[in-house]
Amino acid sequence: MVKIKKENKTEKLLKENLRELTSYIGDFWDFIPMPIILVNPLNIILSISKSFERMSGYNAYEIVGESLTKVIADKNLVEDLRKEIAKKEEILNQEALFLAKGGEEIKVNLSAKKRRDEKGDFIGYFLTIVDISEIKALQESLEKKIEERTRELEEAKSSLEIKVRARTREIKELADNLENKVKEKTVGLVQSKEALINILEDVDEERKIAEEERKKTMAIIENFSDGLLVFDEENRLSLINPQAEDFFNVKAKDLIGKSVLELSIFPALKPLTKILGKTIRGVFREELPIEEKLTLEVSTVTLKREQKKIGTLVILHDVTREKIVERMKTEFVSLAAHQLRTPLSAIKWTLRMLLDGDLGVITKEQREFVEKSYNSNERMISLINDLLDITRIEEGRFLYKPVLTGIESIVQFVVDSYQEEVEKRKLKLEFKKPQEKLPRVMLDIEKMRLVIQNLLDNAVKYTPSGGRVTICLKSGKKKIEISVKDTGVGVPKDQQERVFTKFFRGANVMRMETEGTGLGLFISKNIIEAHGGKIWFESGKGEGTIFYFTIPVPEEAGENF
Amino acid sequence: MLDKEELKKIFQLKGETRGVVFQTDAQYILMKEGEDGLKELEKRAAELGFKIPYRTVKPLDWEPIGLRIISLLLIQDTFGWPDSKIREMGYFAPNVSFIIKLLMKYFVSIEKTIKNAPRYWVQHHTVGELIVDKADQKQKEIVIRMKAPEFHPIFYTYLEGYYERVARFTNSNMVCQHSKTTIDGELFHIYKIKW
Repeated sequence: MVKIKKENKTEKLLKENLRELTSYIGDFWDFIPMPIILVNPLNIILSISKSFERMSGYNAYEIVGESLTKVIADKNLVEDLRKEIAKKEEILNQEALFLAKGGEEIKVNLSAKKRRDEKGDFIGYFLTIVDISEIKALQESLEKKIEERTRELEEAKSSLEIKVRARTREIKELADNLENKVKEKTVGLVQSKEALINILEDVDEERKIAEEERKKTMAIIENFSDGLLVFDEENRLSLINPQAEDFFNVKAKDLIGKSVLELSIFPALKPLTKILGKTIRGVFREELPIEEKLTLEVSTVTLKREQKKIGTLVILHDVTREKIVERMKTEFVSLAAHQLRTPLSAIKWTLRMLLDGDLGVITKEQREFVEKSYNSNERMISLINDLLDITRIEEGRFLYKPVLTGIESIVQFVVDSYQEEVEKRKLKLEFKKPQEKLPRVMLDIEKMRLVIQNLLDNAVKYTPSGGRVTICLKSGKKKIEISVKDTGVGVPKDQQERVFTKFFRGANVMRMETEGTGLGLFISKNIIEAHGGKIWFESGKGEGTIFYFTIPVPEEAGENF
Repeated sequence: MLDKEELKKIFQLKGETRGVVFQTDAQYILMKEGEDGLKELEKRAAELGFKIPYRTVKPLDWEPIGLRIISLLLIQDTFGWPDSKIREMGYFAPNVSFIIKLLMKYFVSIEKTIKNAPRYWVQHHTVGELIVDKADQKQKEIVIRMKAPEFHPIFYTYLEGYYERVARFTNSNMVCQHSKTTIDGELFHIYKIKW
């Protein structure tokens, strides 16, 4: 009884275990995603998984009990598979064509696992069927692509080889050409090198010559008796020679590179910079008194290279000695003139008394001698007066007394005084004046008469008989212009520069007229410039002469007009 | 039209069968008639006072053999199937039967299948036995005799299909035919398999 109970208990437990196992196998068989079938040794399908149903389209009723060849079309393959699995435990990855229910052919991979019974006899096998159609399609696609790519690569390789050969040939040709060119270039470079060496030697020679020249030039500049200052194109001092340093008692190192404005800070240089101006104007022989015993004459020269200004040279010429000599000469002339004028006045009055008969009756012959003496004395007095005027001018004492007056009457007065002389010389004298009234100007009447007298005197003296002398007045807003035109002998071109200098007389006129001091135009120029005017002339030998001078019109006088 | 009283008698038949037969019945109904068909079947069974465990039964459970015959009668009646359809249901049952899976090791050859035929019966039923009277491969004939209490004829029709299917696991040309014979005054059901 107990034994039966125990057996029942054991059987119950076994049943429970069997149920669990059954459930487990059922679930597993349904779940496993890989299509699996159980095939007996006769290749009859005995069981299928759910996954196989999905893949094949067959359910268990339709396919279980059927031959494996229903789904694996290749009968030989199926038979071989059976034979092989009978010998082996398993077969892996046997490719096959699977026939689904609808007739669709699917490329699959078959793997088989042998089943044995408790005695070890072959009782069938599990067959897994893996759909590899996508993998195969991919594989075929890849193989196709690889094949195409291989073909392309082979074509590319062939093409590349052709190109490489062509390129190699080109490169070789290029290399050959290059080599030839390098050789040619090397020869050229060697020749160029030699030429360059020659040029460098020449340049070096030229440099040495230039250096020598520069040294010479510097030696000349440094030892030049005149002071020299060189300004660059920006008007900065670039050079000052020792003589100029001495003139101003300055050192070059303190001045080089400075502009005119910066130089004006130095007291010694201030007068010079005043003359030069900031931009260094053109100056010609302007006097520059530095101290009592030093007077310089300043001139500027524009330095040009190929028509372009590269700087300015300032020349400082020491005229101290000339000024002293001139002053001494002036003092001597002044002294001599004063000393001579007193006895000449006494002689004049004595001779006048003789001619007037105050000292008794004289014979005709005696009168002629006395008259000649009187005239000579008069010329002597005139000369002395001129000399005294010049000394006054040069000493700065030739002061004039300007008054606001009309110039027309002054000219008319002089013209009238020359009528007798003009007629005597058989000349025609004409005075042209504008119809409108001329503006009044500031004039020293006596000095202005002297100017007109000098100009008219020259015109009359040096115009041959039958000639014409014309005095013309022209009025402008800012000035009055007076001209004296003659048809006389003229001034030779080569002597025109000296016309306004002291004691100048033209060579041609000296032969015509022995009288004349050569001081009239010098005095006239100084008088006109003292009035703020200008004087100049136009002439040529045998072409007559026109002297012009201008007198400025005061602004108020001009407005009154 | 089923007779309720007759069904009660059938239910009271001695012997048991494995639950797997209800599973295979249910699967076949689902395949042929769908879920509604199975529900209709369950409803009919309930109306007749029977609860057939189509959905809950375990394959190795023992259930009354009478209930198994009632299930076949109900199916035939509910869906108006002829006997041939019941035979077909039997034919397809081994395809999905769990117990057949356990016995598959025997379906490796005709000899082995025949040799293990009695084992098949024992695996499925608690009453009766199966006897192999003849297995002649030259004549291509096998004769199996069933020694058991008398059941309802539909049960033998079902088994005819069933045995044919099992036989075809080794040879697809096999055909099974049911008949009855009396030996020494005792009635036997015979299944002759030819190919």
